[in-house]
Amino acid sequence: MSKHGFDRRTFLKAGAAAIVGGSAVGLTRYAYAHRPKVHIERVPSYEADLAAALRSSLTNLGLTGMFSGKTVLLKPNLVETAPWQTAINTHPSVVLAAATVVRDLGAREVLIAEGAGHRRDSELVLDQTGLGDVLDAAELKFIDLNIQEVDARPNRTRQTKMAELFLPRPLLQADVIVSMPKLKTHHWAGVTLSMKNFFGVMPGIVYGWPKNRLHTEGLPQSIIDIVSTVQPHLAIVDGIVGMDGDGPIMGNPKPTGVLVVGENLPAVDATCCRIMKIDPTIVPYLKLAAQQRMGPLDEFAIAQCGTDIDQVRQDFRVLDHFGYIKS
Amino acid sequence: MDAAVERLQDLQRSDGGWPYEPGQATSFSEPTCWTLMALHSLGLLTGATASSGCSFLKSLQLPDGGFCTGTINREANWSTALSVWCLSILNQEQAAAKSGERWLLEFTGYHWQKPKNSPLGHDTSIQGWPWLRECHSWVEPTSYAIHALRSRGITQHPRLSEARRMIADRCLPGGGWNYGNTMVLGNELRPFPSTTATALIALHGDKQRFEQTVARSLAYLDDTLPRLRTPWALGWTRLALRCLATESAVEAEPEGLDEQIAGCLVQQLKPGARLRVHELAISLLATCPFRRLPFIVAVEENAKKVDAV
Repeated sequence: MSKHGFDRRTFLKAGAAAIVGGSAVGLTRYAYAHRPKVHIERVPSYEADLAAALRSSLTNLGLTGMFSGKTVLLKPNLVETAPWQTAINTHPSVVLAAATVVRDLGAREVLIAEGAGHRRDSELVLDQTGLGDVLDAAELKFIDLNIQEVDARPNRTRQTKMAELFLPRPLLQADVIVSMPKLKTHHWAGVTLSMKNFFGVMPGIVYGWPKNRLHTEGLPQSIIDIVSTVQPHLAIVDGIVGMDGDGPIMGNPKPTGVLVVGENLPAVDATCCRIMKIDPTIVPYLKLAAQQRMGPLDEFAIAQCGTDIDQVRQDFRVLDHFGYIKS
Repeated sequence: MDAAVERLQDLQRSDGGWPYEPGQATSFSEPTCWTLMALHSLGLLTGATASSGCSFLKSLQLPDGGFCTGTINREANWSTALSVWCLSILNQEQAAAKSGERWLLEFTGYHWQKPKNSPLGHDTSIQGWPWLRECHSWVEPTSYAIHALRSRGITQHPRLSEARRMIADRCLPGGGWNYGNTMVLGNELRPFPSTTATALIALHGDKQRFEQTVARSLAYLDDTLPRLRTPWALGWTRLALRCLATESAVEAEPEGLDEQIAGCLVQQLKPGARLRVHELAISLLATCPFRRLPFIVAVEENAKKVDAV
């Protein structure tokens, strides 16, 4: 029995129900009858062989075949820049490594796409983070999701008042969508990981900056609606240097030395929380994700592989008003 | 510069508007407005191009007078300010501009009295303009709305005065602006070049009232400028320096700025470059003679035109 009164038998029943319930609301990608796998790879620094680390993760997860012949959209977290601050945005080396591996595994096309939340000026963010030069050298295409043509899609979970979501066409046309967030605490959401990262796919020309409409609709509710509607396929979390304290931009770098990879985003985020010594079952948006049967949060319900959580666990500080999520 | 103008002209779509990026099959209000205003300011806008561009803008106007961003999401929003401003500067579709002006004056957003324990540093009760209905006021849409109303000859309206007060209130303690938050949970946030420039231009003409705010924000821009090489940031910074020079806050533009802008234009036109229409248009606008910038023309010349409508 877990401390939240949710034993394995109950979980399996819930899982079976999720398949039925999930299908009913179109959440099949998140319906789970088995324990979704999440892989933790220890990576000491951005100078390490990141491509090898990612290949190892994907091999362990049995996911090396998912990119062949596909258009793959990698969605890093690009917020804003600050001198000497490397913990705000997904590191260019991690983006490059992911693109390289995905290309090697047969992807037809690899796109790097983001709609920065704070700065409309994506070119400046690319320039100041160094990601622009990295993409140019590797001949990788960047798509500013803030200014793309959009199409409306029905909101699958309706946790907000939004009946439909306007999503950028390149996102809708991609075969494989990969969330590539940073491992960070967040002053409004508690943590920002693979699910919160999807605020960045919401076009600013429709939702404003700093994605204002989503904040007024409610952060946890918006996160659930976006992820359930977009249905991303994979998460690769850059936790080599994370951020604690007043994240997502004003916190402190927190070297943690991990890449966390998995298909089920709530399970990936729950694992990241445990690495950060945060209880995922009381993080508001994850709690809501579990209620919506999008994925498991309890440790026993996730097949952890690679490095043990205990070996990489770090004490990520949170702001006082989120003190209750610390485990 | 000729190549940049030619590229912009080539990108006009058959519906009269411009896309954000080459290859897009949809026109949007923002790139259309910036392109039309840039070509107009350069003296290179033909009557036919102006007419078709403004017709496209008018097609985005909704029955209530507001303008939407594109053809799919039909919600009147921040695009109204840009559209009204552009139509007024070009002296086209003045009835549409007039109803857009009325909509803009009624478009408020979400504001509230800040409680004592608020995590936010700014005064949340001061009203400017939001990006969208039911959202809070932010720096950029407020700046655009100020220019739009000034282009209509409105210079004394209470909304303008409050909006300028809002912009000044959102200035960071260390100078400069970001999207519009100053302090959050006790931490001072960081400024951005382009929003700092748009805010400075919006405060233009009221030097005495905002002298300290302008001075410390100019110091931020001066410090940042040498490291800028991207079109939106560099273009807006140059525009702000040009506008402020008229108030003697800036004595002369830094040496090498022309070369920085020219380099930026060349970069955008290289094969494979990430060309964005609104950014190219702002780069071009930044090369315009001072007297032809839409911010200045708006105040000095358009008041007369509006009276005639």
